[in-house]
Amino acid sequence: MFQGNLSIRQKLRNIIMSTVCAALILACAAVLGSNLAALLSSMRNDLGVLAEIFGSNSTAALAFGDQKAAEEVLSALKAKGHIVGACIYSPDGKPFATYRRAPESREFTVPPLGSDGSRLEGGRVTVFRRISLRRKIIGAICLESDLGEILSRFRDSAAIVLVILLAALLLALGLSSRLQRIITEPIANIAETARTVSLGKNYAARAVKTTDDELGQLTVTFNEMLSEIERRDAELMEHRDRLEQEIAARTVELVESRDKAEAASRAKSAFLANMSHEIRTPMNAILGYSQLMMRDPAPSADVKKNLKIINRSGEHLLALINDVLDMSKIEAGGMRVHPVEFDLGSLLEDLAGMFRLRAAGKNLKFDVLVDGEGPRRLVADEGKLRQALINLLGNAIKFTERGRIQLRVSVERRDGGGLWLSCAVEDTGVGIAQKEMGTLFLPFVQTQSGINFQAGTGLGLAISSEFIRLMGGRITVTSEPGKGSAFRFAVPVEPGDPAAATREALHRTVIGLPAGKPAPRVLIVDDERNNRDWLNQLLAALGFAVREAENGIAALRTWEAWRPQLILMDVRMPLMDGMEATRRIREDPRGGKTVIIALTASAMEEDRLAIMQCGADDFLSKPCRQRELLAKIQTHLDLAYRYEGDETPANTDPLDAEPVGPPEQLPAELAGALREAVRDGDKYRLDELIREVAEQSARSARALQELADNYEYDALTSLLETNR
Amino acid sequence: MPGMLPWLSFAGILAALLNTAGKAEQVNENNLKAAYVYNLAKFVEWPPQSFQNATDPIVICVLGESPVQNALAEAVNGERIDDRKLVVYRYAAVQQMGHCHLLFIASSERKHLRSILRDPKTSGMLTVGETADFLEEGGAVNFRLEGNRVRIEVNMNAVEQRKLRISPKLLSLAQIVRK
Repeated sequence: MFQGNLSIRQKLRNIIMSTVCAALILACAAVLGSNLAALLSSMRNDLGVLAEIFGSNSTAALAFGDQKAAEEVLSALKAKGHIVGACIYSPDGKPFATYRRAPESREFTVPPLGSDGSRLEGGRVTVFRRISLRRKIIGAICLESDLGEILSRFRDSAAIVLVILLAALLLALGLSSRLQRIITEPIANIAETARTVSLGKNYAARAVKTTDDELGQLTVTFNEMLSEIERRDAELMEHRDRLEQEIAARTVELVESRDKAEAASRAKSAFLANMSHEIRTPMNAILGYSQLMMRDPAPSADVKKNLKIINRSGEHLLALINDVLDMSKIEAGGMRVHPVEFDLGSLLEDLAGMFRLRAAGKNLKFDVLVDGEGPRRLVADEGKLRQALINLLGNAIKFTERGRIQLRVSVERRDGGGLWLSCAVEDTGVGIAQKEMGTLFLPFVQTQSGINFQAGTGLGLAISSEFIRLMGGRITVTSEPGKGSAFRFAVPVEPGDPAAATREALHRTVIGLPAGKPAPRVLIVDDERNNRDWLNQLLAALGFAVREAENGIAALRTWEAWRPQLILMDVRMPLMDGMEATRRIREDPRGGKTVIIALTASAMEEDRLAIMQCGADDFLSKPCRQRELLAKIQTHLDLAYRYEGDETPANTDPLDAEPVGPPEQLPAELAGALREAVRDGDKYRLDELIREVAEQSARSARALQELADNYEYDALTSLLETNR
Repeated sequence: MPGMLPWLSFAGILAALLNTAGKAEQVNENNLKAAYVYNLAKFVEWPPQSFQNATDPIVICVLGESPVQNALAEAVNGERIDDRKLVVYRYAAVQQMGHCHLLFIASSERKHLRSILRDPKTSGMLTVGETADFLEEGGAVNFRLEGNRVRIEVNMNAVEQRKLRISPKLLSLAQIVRK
C-alpha cells in the first residue's frame, strides 16, 4: 500500500470509506442479484401460470382438433408483449398451433417438445407445460419470452440502488470525516505534545486527555512517561552535579596527596643531599690529607704505598656511601649513564691495587688478565663500571677461602661493528645454590652465604646488575656450589682518543707553577675551615696566591678588593651560599672574567645543574681528587705546570722545605691544654689552641693541625709528650 | 356419403389425440364419431344425483342403428373420467333404455327425434346428435359440418334444463344457441 506517508486522518478516512464502499457494493450486488433472481423466478412463475392458463384454455381445441380455435386461444398472448412466441403440441409432439409476436420475423422458431419446466437460454426463457384434460395428457404448450421486461425492471432497480449507494457513500464520507476526529484529535494532540517535547526539550509539557478509551489511556501513559523522563532528567542532573562536586572534592584530595607526596619526595631528596654532604665533608678531609701526605717526599716508599691504599680505600668508602644513594636513585628511576673517556689500564691497575692486598691477606691468588688487542682508551661510564667491578671482586674475595680470584677483561669488536668490553670475575669460592640464583640480583636480598658472612649491604649485586643494564649489558652468573662462581658481563663502549692516553698515561705529579710568571690569584670560599686549609696548603705550595673566605658575603668583599682570577666556591654556606654569591658576581659587569669552580658534596644532579645555571664555569664533587682539581684549574686558567721528573726539578714545596718534625718548644700551659683537648677528643678546642700555637710558630702549628685534621690523636699525644 | 371428407380430415388429428387407431387412412367415420362423443363427455359435469357414488360409471348410450357403438365401446375401454369408468350401451328404442348419462342419437333415428327428445326418459341425459335440426327438436349438443370443419353446437336451454354443466372451454369452441 502507498499509505505510509499519509496522515492518520487520511488513513482513517480511507479505511472507513473503503470498508463502507466494500460493504455497500456487496450489499448492492446482493440486492441486485437477488432482485434479478426474484425477477427471473417470478417471470418463470408467470410464464408457468400463463402456460397453464393457455394450455387449459386450449384443451377443448386440442380435444376436438380445432387448430384454428387453438391459434385463436394463443393469439390472446398479444397482450403479453414479452412473449416472443408460443406453440401447442399434439400428443405425438408435433406442433399443433403456433403463435408469433411478429409473424414476419424469424425471432421465434418452434422448439422441439421438452419436458415440463422452464429454461433460460440465449436471453430467452422457455416454458413447457403438459396439457391434460380430465387427468389425461392431451398435448403440451410452449411459451417463449424475451428478458426485455425483466431487464428493464432490473435496470430501474439498479438505478435506484446506485442512487442509494451514492447517497450512502456521501453520507459515510461526511460521517467519517466527522467521526475520525474522535480518534485523530487525541492522537494529533499526543503527537503535538511529543513534538513540543522533542523540539523544546520541555519535559514539563503534557498531552490533554479528552476521552476515556484506549486513546485516553495512551494519553495518560504518555504523560506518565513524560513525568518519568522529567523525573529521571532531574535525577540525572542532580547526579551529574553531585558527581562534579565529588570530582572537585576528589581533585582537591588528590592535589593535596600529590602535594604531600611531592613534599615527602623533596624532603627525602633534601635528606639524602644533607646526608651525603654531612658524610662527605669528613671524607673530604681524610682523602685530602692523605693526598697531601703522598706529596711528602720524605716518607719511605712503603709509607707512600700505604697512603695510597688509605686514599683508595677512602674512595671506596665514599663509593660505598654512594651505593645507598645510588640504590635510592635507581629505585626512583633517576639514575643516568654519564659516559666519560677513561683509561682501561689505569682502571684495572686501581682495581688490582685495591684488591691485591685483600687477596694476599686471605692467601688468595689474584690475577688480572687482559685478552685481545683492543684499544685501552675507552668512552663509557667509568664510575659505574668501576663500581660494578669493585662489587664483583669484593664479593669474590669475601666468599673465597682458598684458591684464586681472576679478573678477565677483553675489548673486542662484535659482528655489528660495535666495540664491547667484556669482563669476567671468577673465583674458587663457596658458589651459589641453584635456588638462590633467581633472587641474586634483587636489592636487599642476600644469599645464605652472604648472611653467614654477616657483612655487606646486600646492595652490591643489585646495583652492579642495574648499572650494567643501564650501560646496555647484562650480568650472567654460572656457579657450582663448593667449587666457585663466575660473573660475566659485556657492555658496549666507544673508542677514546689515543693521543689523550699517552698524555695522561704519564701519571705525573704536579710540583708547581712555572717560574717567572705572576702567581694566579685563587680565592677559596668554604665555611669548613679544614677544607679551606688543605686547599690553601695544596695551592699555596704550588705557587698560587691564595686567600680564603668563609661565606658568600666575605667572598664578595674579597672579590671586590682583590679580583681573583679563580674562585673555588663551596655551595652550602651560612649567611650567603655559593649560588647566591656566584649569581651576584656574574651580575657585576666586571664579574665575567673571574672563573668560578663550584665545589659541592651533593650527589644530586639537580644541585649541580642549579649551580651551573647560576653562572659557575665548572664544578667539582667533594671530596675532590687533587689531580682532578689541578686539571680543571689548568684548563680554565690555561696554565702550564711543572711536573715531577721534569728537567729542572725545583723543589718549591714549602712542605718539603719544612719537613714535619717535632714542634718547637711550646709554653707548658698551652701544651697542657692541647694534651687535654686531645684526650677529650675536642676537635674544636684543639683547632683554637693550634691557632694560638700558630702565633708563635707557624711550622709547629701546621704540623699539629695536620695531625689533628687527620685525627691522629696518638701521634699528637706522643708529640706533645716529647714537649714536656 | 356426403360430409365424409371433413370427418376424415379431422380423423388424423383425432386419431393422434386419442392414440387409439393406427394409420389415419384406416380410421373410419365411426371411430371419429366415437372419439368426439368420448371427448365431449370430458367437458360435461352431470348433477351429483345422477350418480349413486363417486365411482359410479358414466353410462354412454347409443340409440339407433350405428356402428359407432362398437367404435365407442372400443374407445372407452379401460378409460376413466375422474374416477369413473365409462360404459357403452346400445338401444334400439327409447322404451328399452335404462339410465344413461350421455345419449348419442344416431342419424338413423332422425324421424323419431322429436318423440325421443320429448320422452321423459331422456330429460336428464346429455343428448348428442348429428343431424341438422337436432337442436331445433330439443337436443343438447350437435356435431355439425360447416365447410370442412366439424362444429359443435350447444343448446344452452337444453343443457340448463337438464341441470348439466358444460365446460366454458368447450363452449368457447362451440356455437351456442338457445332453442
